[in-house]
Amino acid sequence: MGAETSSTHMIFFIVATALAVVVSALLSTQVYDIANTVRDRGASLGDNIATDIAIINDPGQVPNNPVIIYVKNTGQRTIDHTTISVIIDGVHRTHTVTLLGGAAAWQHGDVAEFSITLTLASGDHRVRVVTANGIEDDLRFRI
Amino acid sequence: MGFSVTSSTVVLAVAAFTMGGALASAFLTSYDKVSEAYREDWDFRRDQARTNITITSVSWNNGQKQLTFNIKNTGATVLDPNQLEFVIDGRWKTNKVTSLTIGGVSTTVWAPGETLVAVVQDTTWTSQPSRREIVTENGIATWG
Repeated sequence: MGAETSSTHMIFFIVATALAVVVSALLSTQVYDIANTVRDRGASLGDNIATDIAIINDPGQVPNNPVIIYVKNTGQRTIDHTTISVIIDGVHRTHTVTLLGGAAAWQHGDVAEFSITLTLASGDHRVRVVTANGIEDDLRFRI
Repeated sequence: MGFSVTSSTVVLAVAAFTMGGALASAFLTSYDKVSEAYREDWDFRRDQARTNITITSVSWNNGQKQLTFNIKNTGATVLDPNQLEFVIDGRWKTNKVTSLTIGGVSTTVWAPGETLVAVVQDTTWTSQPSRREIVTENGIATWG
């Protein structure tokens, strides 16, 4: 009777401990996923807040055919200039981009030149430049 | 039965502490990044709101194909002359700046009230450029 009781206790002990370990492992996986997501979201939100750009063209004299748009990185983060979208009069335009002044990366203070093979008609137009993380600037100008 | 409860409780408690620590660390890291970014953004917005420059005079030297600007810092923040952008007749000409001086001295500190003398020279100009835009490091533009 004593030996039976001990072995029953031993079985309960092993099963309970094993269950606790399995439950902890499952919960840990979920919690670490949540922690990583929180960390990633924080970094991403921080980057969004500290990113800023400004279109510095003279709205009375924007180069035409090709249209050239000058954009200055006025934020605190380096921006990937190859992932920028340029929208003129509501239409996404393909473009070539050059960092001016010999800059190797589009850092704070640097200017990027976006050249769009396009001839705009005389009149009023609007350009919008959007970064990969959704930061944008726009400019109304006249040709 | 007592040992079973104790052992499983210990395992779950250790796991809960570890998970709580991981979550707290993630939230703190995230909070740090966001608050630092807000601080930078706040500094930027404050400086931008206090920035103003005025072109007080422009002179043209046809022989040298050279524009000389007198630009006064009429705002309330210190600017860096080397961060100015010059857009002249619609084209970026910052790479044509030959001189940036305050009181005859080249400096990175352009204090409020001081006048910067900027010289831009481009031999491709055939006549005096008519539209001259200058943009500060934080995107404030002026024309003259």
